[in-house]
Amino acid sequence: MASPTAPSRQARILAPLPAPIQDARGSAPETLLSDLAAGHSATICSLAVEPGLRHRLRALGLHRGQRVHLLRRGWWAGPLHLRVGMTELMLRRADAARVGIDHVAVSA
Amino acid sequence: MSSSTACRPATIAVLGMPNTGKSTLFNKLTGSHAHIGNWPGVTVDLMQASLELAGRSAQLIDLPGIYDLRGHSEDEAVVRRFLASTAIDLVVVILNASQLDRQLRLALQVQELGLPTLVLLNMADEAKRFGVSINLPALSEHLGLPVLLVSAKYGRGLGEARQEIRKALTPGPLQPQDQAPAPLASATPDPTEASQSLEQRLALVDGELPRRMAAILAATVQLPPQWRDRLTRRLDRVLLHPLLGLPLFFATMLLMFQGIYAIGVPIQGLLSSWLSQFGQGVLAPLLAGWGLPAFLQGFLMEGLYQGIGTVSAFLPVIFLFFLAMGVVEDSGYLSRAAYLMDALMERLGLDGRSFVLCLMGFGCNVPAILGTRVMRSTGLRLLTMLVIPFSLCSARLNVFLFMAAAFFTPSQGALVIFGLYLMSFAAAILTALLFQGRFAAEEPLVLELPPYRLPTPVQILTRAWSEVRHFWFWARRFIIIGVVAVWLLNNLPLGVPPASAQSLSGQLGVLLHPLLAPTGIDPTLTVALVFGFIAKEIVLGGLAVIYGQADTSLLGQAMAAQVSWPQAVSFMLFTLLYVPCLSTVAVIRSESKRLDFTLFTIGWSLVLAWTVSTLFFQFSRLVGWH
Repeated sequence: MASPTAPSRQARILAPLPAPIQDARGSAPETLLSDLAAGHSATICSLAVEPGLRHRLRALGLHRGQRVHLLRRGWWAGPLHLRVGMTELMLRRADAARVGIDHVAVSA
Repeated sequence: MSSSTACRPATIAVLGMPNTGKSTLFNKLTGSHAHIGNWPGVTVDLMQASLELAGRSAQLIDLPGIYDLRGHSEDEAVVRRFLASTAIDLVVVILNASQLDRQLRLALQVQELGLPTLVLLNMADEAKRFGVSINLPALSEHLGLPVLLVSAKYGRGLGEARQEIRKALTPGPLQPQDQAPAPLASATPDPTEASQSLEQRLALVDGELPRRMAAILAATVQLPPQWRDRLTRRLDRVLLHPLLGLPLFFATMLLMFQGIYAIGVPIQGLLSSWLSQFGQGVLAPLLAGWGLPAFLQGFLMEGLYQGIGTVSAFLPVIFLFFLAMGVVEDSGYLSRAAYLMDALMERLGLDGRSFVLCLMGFGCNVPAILGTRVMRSTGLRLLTMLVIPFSLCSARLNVFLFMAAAFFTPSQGALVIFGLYLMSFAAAILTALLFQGRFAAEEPLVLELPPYRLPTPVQILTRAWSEVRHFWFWARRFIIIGVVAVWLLNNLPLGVPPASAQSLSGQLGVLLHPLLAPTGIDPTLTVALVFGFIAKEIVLGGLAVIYGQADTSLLGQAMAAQVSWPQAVSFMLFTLLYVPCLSTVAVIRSESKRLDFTLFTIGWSLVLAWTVSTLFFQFSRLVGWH
């Protein structure tokens, strides 16, 4: 059963994406991993996720300073297909919206 | 301690991330047939096997695949508890050699525990293919642990691995062999407390871990400048295509099922008629020759032999099914199915993993429900458990294949089976839609998409064989108890015509008939449904006993003479949707740890089965299909 604090499913789907995360200096909002276009690479600069997911991402190779490559975006707002080092993984857009990136560049 | 304790078996814990071929390696080392999973988290039960090493026996324990010793999943907690509270002689850490860039972290965490450790870098073949080169001596020196490169799939480096294990278990000159190692946290006998102390130990070093790891990687591992797996890249371009991906996946599944039936059903027919001929021609005269009483003869032949024979004739179909599912899973396509379906599943309150577990449920619901352990959110887990039992498992498939052959032409029969699969999906989707509000889940989803792999024939055959064996051993007790019970109910009290209204089963059928009358299911079939509650394997064996025919084509004719085809379809729908079997109920109870939820799954499936069967049967009467 849902914990009383968890927002309902509908609310989660209808709610706008979480506000862009301000970086440490509180200046310009960051680009989010969920906004990265297919075929582009970026470097992770912030992870605003709960500790459980942080551990899992870390074990799968996603951490600050790591370069990631976006292979494709799933249909119907589906998950992202990423390559991180020698590993490929899928990540839901809602979760990717909690990962800040910079140094966007088209990879060869 | 006396010298006799020198033979104390050593305890070896096998640990590694999901998708490292850990279970394959475990099987190759021990020669046992543990289940192999390419899907993260399949190996949820602790598998154990003995290994004989230079006169000393060792117990190898296959721990669940985990990502992080400090992780928050149930499996990760299980491993922590195991490591903290068990006396371990050796930890074998298995890493995917081609993904050492991230997996080294787990080895470093284990190293911090200070236990004797051996590191095996598996999938050496893939590392070579992808251009990852590793300086083994340097890595071993940096870690202060022995490190070996192996390929479990192709059996390379296993001899060296065994030798290294033996070396690690041989005590040094100052260390008496009969002294058992103490558990890590021997000060506290409580496993929870013990694993907490282990966690604190790991937390202390967590801060410096990234820097150490980067330094070791820089000194010992060379990654390719360019991604080399062109095969995976090309296949994914087609198989994960935004528009083509899903149709291709379902087409593959359809083709797979068609292939299984095209090959399996004729074999099943042949086997069934052989078994029947053997019974009539050899066993029956033999029993008659022994002069056994007629009641006992009938019990052995029409009860036990026919019941078991009918079910075992379907084993080839089940073998083919597991063979095909094994290829889909081990090739890496099943993980892609999770990717493709996640968008839809998210809207149903589930996720891509739920879909994959439902697909696995098409083999057997029990391991699929055990597989929900990879989920952390209770809501998501319960909703997935509520949906899985609607997966048309191989036991139900037996019943449907038989009835489709009895009541329809081959081409109609294929459509009926396909329709039942669609119904299975529809029931799952309807259930998720209706109840997702009650089991709201908020769980992030991140899954590995392994490179495509060509499973070796040996790997796939071994696996399918062990699944069928498991199915048979699991089902056998139920089948034997079930068919015996059905036969007794049909033939007691003594002297009544078998399966008549005066027999116990006839009385039971008449008693329940008012309840099932709207569904069109007659009193005889009602008895089969009652037994199907125990296990669906019994339904077919039970029908064979009820109608006194083991040869499936004769049994079909006997049934078709008494039952109309809309009644048969209504019976199939009911069989598809109500409680799969007692084993599934038991595993839902033990996994959810909630009696109210378990009762709810039973109640909901009965309500849905009754409603759908009634709707179909009443509709068929309305349009005059009788």
